[in-house]
Amino acid sequence: MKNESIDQLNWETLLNRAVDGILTDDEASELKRILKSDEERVDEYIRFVDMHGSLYHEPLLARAGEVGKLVNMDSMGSRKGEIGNIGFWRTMAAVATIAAIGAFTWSSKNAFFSDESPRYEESAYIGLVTSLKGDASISEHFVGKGLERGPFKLDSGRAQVRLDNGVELSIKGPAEFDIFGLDHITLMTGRVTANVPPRAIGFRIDTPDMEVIDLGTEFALRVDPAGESRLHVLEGEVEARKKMGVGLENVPMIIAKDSMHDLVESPSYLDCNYDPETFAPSPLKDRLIQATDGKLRSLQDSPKDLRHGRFKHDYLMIFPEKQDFVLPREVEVNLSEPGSYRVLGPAAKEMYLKEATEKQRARETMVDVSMVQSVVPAGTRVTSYLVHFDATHRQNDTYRAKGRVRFSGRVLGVILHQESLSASDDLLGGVDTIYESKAGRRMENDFIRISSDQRQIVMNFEIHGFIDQARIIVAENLEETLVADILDR
Amino acid sequence: MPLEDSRDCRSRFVQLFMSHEKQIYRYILSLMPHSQDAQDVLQETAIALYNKIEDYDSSRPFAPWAFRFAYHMTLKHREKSTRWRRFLDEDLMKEIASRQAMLIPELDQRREYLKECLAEVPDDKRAMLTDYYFEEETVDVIAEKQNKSVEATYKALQRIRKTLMHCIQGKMHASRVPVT
Repeated sequence: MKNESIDQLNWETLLNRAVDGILTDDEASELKRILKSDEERVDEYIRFVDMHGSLYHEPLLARAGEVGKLVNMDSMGSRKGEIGNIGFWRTMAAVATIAAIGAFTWSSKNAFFSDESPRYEESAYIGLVTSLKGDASISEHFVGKGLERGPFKLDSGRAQVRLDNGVELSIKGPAEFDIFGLDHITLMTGRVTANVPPRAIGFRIDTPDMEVIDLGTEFALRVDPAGESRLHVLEGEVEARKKMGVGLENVPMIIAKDSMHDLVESPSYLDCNYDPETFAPSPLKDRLIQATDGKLRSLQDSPKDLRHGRFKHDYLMIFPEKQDFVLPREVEVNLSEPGSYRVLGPAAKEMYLKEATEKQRARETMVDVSMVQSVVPAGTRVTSYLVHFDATHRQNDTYRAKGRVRFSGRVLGVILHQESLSASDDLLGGVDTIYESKAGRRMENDFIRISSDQRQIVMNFEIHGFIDQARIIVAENLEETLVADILDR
Repeated sequence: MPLEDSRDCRSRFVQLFMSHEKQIYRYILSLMPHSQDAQDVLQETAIALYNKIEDYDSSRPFAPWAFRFAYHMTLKHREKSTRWRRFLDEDLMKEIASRQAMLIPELDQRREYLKECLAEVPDDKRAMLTDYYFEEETVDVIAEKQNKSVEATYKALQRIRKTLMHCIQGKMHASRVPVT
């Protein structure tokens, strides 16, 4: 049955209006008539709607924002007053271009603990230290430290670093390597395990006697003090070769996890069996954070000192505080319901009312920072995360950063108010972390959106003299989260 | 039911539902193509499935069982809106559901190609897709951000979707996957 009753352009318009939710009643009748009279159109309709539905779950769209994590253009824009109004994603695309041509240089020493620094400079670091364990925590490194190209040395303990292309490196000291760029390091000595996401395939580690190129994988390398390397493939496959091997060992060879034991002639550098003692452990992933993007970075551990000026960074930093525990008492939260909120301090309110467009005011709920929207009851199993933003170097500077985090658990509440933050530091904060007193953290004109499924938070923070912090309480148990969702609704 | 059994059931439900959630969502979306409505139906379907999980025969696939609930929840949701009452009747719903089942292998393949095609989308257009699909911004907001009219923004989205459809179709032809 076929009925050519509509031209292609009108047909496509009808489909688009259907998925955009703007079909009129008459158009809905028209769509029904066409689908009932033309089987081919039914198939076209299904293909189109399926693509539309798939786009909602397409991680590639989320990753688009991550290409430009190298430079804080928002901050630069607010300083220069030039690009503050440019759309966030277009800014990120611009960042990618700028990063690609290497237009900026920067020294990480200027970015941290540097109150004397007279200028706020764009960062050119290419990764972060996200975790330090054991003796590593008393080394020259610290959680949140930016990594530049150049040498990295860890005398003892364990560290984890994340490069800006998503490569996670787990390092067991003593270890020494050189970072040449996002896609290439040289391991001189020690133990490194690399987890390489698909977008960073081709990541390469050189050792004194080997070259290993990732083909989508997780692999462990160990270089002993004499410069001899051992390799084990934990997932996927790599291409490996000896730089000066015997026989065919200097010819690149594909080694896959699944076929390590089946090789006819196993290369001398390959450890077919994984001994966790002799290699660095697999890089850890945060249990509840599914994704971040924009100018928000996640850390595995909490930084030690979060007082004003002690942990400066040009990104919003998020890290776990107290994890997987049962609240012994109820906790008041400033925000908990899905929605878009403009959080205003007294000084910013007047300005906002004067300057915000009608449309902006229509799509944001203006809230006083001290508002309490709900209470997380005692007995709830939660993990607490803190978002920290402290980038100012001069008293009158204003900096902005926008980012997003998605959790696998449901967000039960967000604490923003200085007094509520201080009141919850002892209960939800990290045991070894020094927090700012309430006077130094202050939300003034900041935007937060809690998604309708309560798993995603978008933040657009502006700091001017004080630091911004948001404490996010996330339900710990996935099962409880889903059941709670169902029962709530 | 003993508490342990009840926990097992809940746990089984969560596992099953989460692993089929996207599939169920796409099924609902094919019947009710607007995302917000489809999400509402998905919620209602989840509740219904949760209440009936004890009836589920685990020796049989979960998806078809869940689709039955989704189908009835869509029918119920249809009554809330004139637009959907005008669009959907039971015959058409059955036709769409049946064709969708036939097209599953092709749709799976198309989703793979969608990833490749997305990688080819220029940054500015991908940014618009990100705003719409990932940020779930309304077209009004996107239009304001881009200093475009709402109508122009709808048209721009339509063009991007059309490009993606063409790209996927091209790859389908190139790979000689027969289009059912």
